Amino acid sequence: MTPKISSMRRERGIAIAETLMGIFLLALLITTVVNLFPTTVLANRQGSERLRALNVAQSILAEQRTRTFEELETGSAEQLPERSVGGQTYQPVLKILAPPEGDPDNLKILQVSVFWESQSQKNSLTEEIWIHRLIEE
Amino acid sequence: MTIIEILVALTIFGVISYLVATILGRSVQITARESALLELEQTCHFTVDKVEAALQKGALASISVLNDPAGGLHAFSVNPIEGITAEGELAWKGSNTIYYWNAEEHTLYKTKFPPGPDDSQPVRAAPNRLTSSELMEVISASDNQAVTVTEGVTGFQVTKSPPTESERLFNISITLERNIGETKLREFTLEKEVALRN
Repeated sequence: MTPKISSMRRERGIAIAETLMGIFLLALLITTVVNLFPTTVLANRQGSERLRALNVAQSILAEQRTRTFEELETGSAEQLPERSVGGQTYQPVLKILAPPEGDPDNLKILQVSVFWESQSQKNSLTEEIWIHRLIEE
Repeated sequence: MTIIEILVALTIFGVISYLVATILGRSVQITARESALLELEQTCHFTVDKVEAALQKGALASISVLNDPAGGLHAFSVNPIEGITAEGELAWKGSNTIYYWNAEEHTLYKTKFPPGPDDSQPVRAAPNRLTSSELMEVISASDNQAVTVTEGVTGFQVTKSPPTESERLFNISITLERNIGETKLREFTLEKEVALRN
């Protein structure tokens, strides 16, 4: 009779360890599902901030392209005025560099780096174009 | 299992389900809002890119701009370059591409003058630069031929950029407005400087 009673007692209810394990698994599942959403939102935001920074860099390069070749002073670095797009502030820096190879008298590199801060993280993006002197015959 | 145990289990299940549903509902709302904002911004970039591509197909001599804040009409016309002749001269397409923004309708339209397929007009030897009054006439006559480029445009301007006053530098500015969520209206403005290559 004793073994039957003890077996009956073992089958009754759920042990505290089983309950805790159940809660832990449920919490893990909920956390995983809920975490998926902010990750997507963050990825979207980072993408659009990058796109805006690219737009700022391309606009500055377009402005600089209208200057004459002589006006572009090789070796200079200039911090341009901040630009605000969609509530985000972007700090552009313009550098005019000599080409690593080729004729520096007839070739210059315009490089624009754009810096911005988001989610207490510093981000940057760099775009460049190579400018050649117009040679008149 | 007693009735009390079942009731306790159901209560706990109910509380957990409510919490999960609340969190998921909020997350779905945030995701939908962010997606709508992204769509708004991408439409802005898409429109600016289209306008830039249209400007770059022409040259300074073939572009005319109409900015009439009083009439709420902003437009530009481009006579695109067709190619270069054997003599080294530029040849121009037979029709002009016109983009115009109607402030009342909040819509950016595209049309052609003269209308018809691209190859239906003879190639020009000189660019056809429309004057402001010609541009106005073309726009008012082209209502049924115009194609919608973007809707929800609350601001559109193509101007010469002020900082350098360079002849080749244009500023494209576009503002879009969309309903984000059920009642919130969000606006996004994008500006881009474009240096003409031709």
